[in-house]
Amino acid sequence: MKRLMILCGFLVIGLAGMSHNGFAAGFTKEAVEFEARSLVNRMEITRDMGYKLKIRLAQALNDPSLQEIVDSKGVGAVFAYAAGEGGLVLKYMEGDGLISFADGLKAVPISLKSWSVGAMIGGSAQWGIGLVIGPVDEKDFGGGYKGGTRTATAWEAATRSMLYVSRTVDEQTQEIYIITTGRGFSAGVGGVVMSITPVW
Amino acid sequence: MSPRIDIQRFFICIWNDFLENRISDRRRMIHFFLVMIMAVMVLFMPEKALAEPSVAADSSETKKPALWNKEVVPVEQEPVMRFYEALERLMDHYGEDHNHWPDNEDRRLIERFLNRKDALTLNNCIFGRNFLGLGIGETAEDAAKALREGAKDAWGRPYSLILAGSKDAPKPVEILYAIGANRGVSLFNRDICTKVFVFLKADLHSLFADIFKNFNGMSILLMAREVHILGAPGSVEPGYEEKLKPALCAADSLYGTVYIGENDPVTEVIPMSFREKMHALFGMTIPKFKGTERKSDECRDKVPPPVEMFRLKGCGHLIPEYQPWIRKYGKTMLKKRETQ
Repeated sequence: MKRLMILCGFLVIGLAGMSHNGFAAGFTKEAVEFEARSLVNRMEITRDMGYKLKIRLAQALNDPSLQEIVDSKGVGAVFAYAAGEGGLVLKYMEGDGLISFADGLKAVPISLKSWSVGAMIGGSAQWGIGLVIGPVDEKDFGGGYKGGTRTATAWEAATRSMLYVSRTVDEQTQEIYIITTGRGFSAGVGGVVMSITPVW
Repeated sequence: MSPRIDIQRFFICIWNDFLENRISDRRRMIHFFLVMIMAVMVLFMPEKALAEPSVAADSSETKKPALWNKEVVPVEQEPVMRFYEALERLMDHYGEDHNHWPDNEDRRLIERFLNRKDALTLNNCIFGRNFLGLGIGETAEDAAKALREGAKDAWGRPYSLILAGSKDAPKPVEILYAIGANRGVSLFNRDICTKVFVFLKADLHSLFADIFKNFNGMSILLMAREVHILGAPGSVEPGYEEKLKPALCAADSLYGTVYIGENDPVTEVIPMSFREKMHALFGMTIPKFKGTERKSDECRDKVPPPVEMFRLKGCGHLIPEYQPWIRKYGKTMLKKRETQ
């Protein structure tokens, strides 16, 4: 009887602990949206651009293809950035941002650089929100990523501007989906090479 | 520390006592089942019930007018009411600059409210008592000049911030974009987008009122306990107050008032989108662009505030023409001592 009571006790205390800790597998969809808004606000991105990002992120997260990815793999980290772009055909982008890890540091700075192929008239400003798919350790985050614009999905049609980059380290692939908005005319058509550097 | 963790610790302490036989054998069983029942209750208790208590309003400091009475304000609006009360107390004691506010319950209440609203921080906001938004043709320089000269509202209370609704002229590219994206010409002053404006009272004139109606809660955010709309385009249109409600919900307002001057031609100018104009003039139907329509879900979890409308005889478009009528028919919750 005493053993049974001890077992019950630990079960209840364990359940209480689990109910407090919430999403062990990363950010939930709601937490992704809240954390993204929080990062956008911390970076003091203007309300009009912040609103565009918020709507595009909500549309992306409602797309069945991304929903499936988020549900199965989880979102390990969310970041937001503001960047400037330049170049006629070969575009160079450089910017700063903040990243929050689901089980780690919150709102710590990062810097981003990327090269891509696309058309551009004049300079352009770009803002974005990135979702790092799957569990991510803050110590292993960052480095060189390759990818391009996502096409032929309902999500891309809804959000219009979205990048997908990934890198493979020790046979493990780290995927990042980036929802962007910009000012000025800029159109990407080809591949993207992106470098993300933690600055903490 | 979260209240749930406190409760967990409480259980662990009792459990340790239990295991170490500090409780007599006779009472052990009763104790065990009581603890288990409590634990299960805590597990299924909603988070709201465990949340930290909000700050009670200090009635000794503020004598509330009728609309500010808790009996009149719906239960759903009580957190909003406490938010503005806390804001008023902080501004009364420490000024409008949040950097001078001490780390007390009122400040924490405001931080929590803004965080829950839109993940906002104090640094994202500009706080103040009395806000005036100017209409078309009045630039940022006009606004700064009016503020320097100590412009006052209808009740003689000075404005703490005046913002221009428009800039000098939109660029051709902006006009093309506005037409293409079906958003109306982007005449509004971009300063409005840089911060969130949190005020006790907001007087919005002409174009600014239209910007508020169309964009508040979206690309701009102005929060105000009371909102007064003066000479807004299209305000004579039936159902105008209903169209205003999403913006008022986004503003967390407790009430709104619309003043329509009888001799104010602007109130009869009903804004039409490019699509509507083309349809009205040439019968052409232009397809809608995605994401260009306001999603009116700001009132989803809120009670829309009451909106009163006043039609003013012989009143023209200018603010000084509206003020005597506002003083006569309108009401404000802003304290009088702020004029001193």
